[in-house]
Amino acid sequence: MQEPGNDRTDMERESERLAVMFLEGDREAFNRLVLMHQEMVFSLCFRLTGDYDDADDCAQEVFIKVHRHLKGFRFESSFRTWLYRVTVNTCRNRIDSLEYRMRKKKVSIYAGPGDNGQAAPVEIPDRGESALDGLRRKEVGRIIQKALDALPGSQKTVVVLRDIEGRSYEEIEWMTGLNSGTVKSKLSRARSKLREALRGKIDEEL
Amino acid sequence: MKNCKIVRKMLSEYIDGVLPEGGTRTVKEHMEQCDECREVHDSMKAIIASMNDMETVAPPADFLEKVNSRLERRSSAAGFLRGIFLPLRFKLPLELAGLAAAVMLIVYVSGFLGKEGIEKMAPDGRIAGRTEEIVVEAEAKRVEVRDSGVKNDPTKPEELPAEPEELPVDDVVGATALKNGVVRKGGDLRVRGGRRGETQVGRVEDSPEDDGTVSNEVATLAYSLDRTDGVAKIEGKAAAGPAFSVNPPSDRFDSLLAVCEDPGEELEAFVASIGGRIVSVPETMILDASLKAARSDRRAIRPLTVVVPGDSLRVFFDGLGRLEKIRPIDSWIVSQTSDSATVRIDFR
Repeated sequence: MQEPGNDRTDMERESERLAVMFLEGDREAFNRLVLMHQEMVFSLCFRLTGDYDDADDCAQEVFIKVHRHLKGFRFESSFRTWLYRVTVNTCRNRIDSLEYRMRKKKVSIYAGPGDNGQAAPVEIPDRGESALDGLRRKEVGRIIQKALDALPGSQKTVVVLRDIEGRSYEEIEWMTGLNSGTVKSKLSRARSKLREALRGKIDEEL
Repeated sequence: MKNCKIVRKMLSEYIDGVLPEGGTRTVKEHMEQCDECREVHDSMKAIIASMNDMETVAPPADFLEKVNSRLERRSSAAGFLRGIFLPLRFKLPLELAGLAAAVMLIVYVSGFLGKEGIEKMAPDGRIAGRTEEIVVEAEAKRVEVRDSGVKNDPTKPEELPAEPEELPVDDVVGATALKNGVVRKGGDLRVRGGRRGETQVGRVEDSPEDDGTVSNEVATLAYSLDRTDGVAKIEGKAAAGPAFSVNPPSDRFDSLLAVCEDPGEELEAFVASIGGRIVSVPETMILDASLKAARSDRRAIRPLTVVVPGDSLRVFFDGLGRLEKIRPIDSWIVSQTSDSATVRIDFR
């Protein structure tokens, strides 16, 4: 399969430079790679697992895989696209695990109706907006995350990659290993379910 | 209003602007007349916009530190020992958790008992091992299956031969239009008959010649096709010939090993050509051919189990669902004879 995402942004060039330095034995270059991409990886892990601690663990695992497998990265895709793929796979393994599903089941049984008892994610406000706007945005984010968590794994992955991460269809196909038709139908189903689940809720917040 | 159902299925692609021209026109024209669908469109679009606008979630301040300390742990001897006792993870219905625990125990115990215990459990991928290493003998090979144009379709009985007949093995494999066929020396030829399940066709009695050539032109196979329950079954046995050995062309196996030793650009093309799928990051090794894998993993009907160094060995147990992530893999060594490959896998 052709690897998409061959766009060469500054960040991409810098990532590749660091990757080469790391492969040549520069340990510090790896640290800089982590710092450069940790937010994207962590955020994606959080969106996919729906749990801050799981996200922390998965994101660490992603970078451990990067550390071990960077020599297998062939610089044909963009580094970031490759990183997305490793992250998606790592989260998928986590979500598939019995341990994870047991915990999710427990949470859904014992959690109260309003809150699922998870640690509140730390979100970074990144634009100049009023405190009230910030609060609303945070609340909308929380509501959406809850609806996302109710989606089946692969639908969630596709809709997160497309609508939160803004990846192209072609990239999503490569990152998930799904074919074009499947990506489209999963995205369509996920969006319809989200619309059903969120109908009215977001409007109230906005 | 008619067409609402169809139009709603198209809305997602319409919003992304990836519908073909005809579809776009259909949706547009429909929404001019249908308030409900327009409303669905608007609310879907608003939700997508809200998701576009979601903030990133920051990792904890000591994230890099944690990554580095995990990396250090892994490289130390202590990390190695801890790795051996990493928890197993299963993919099973939750209701089978108790059973899973029992299986897990057996797997661990078998690790100490040796090869035989595990072989009984994992007939497709023979596993033997001690706790610090597991040896997987990948004897299973894949049969080249070409679509002969004969459809194995129960709704079209006229296309299926009614009586058993004798055909050269190659033809049988082709004529049944099977998707996957797996042969193990000393085991049964298994083919996927009909649209579900697996049918044993015959016993593989012999191995290829020492030089890797296969004398299957003399082998014949009697088979019959039975359509009950709407499923075409193929049953039969080897009728004559010294070697009912439906072996894959030896060059396939060679190239597989070549790929293992030198994962590179050809890998994806190769995996695609044999119907496999790379499930994770590059540096992939193809270990075993398993129909059971194809049966128990609905998401990826693939005749190959793919093992990724640094990821985990996946083994499939028939009837129990999928058992995965047995151990994280550190490295592997392949040694080859004319008809089998032995893969030694070192676990973290």
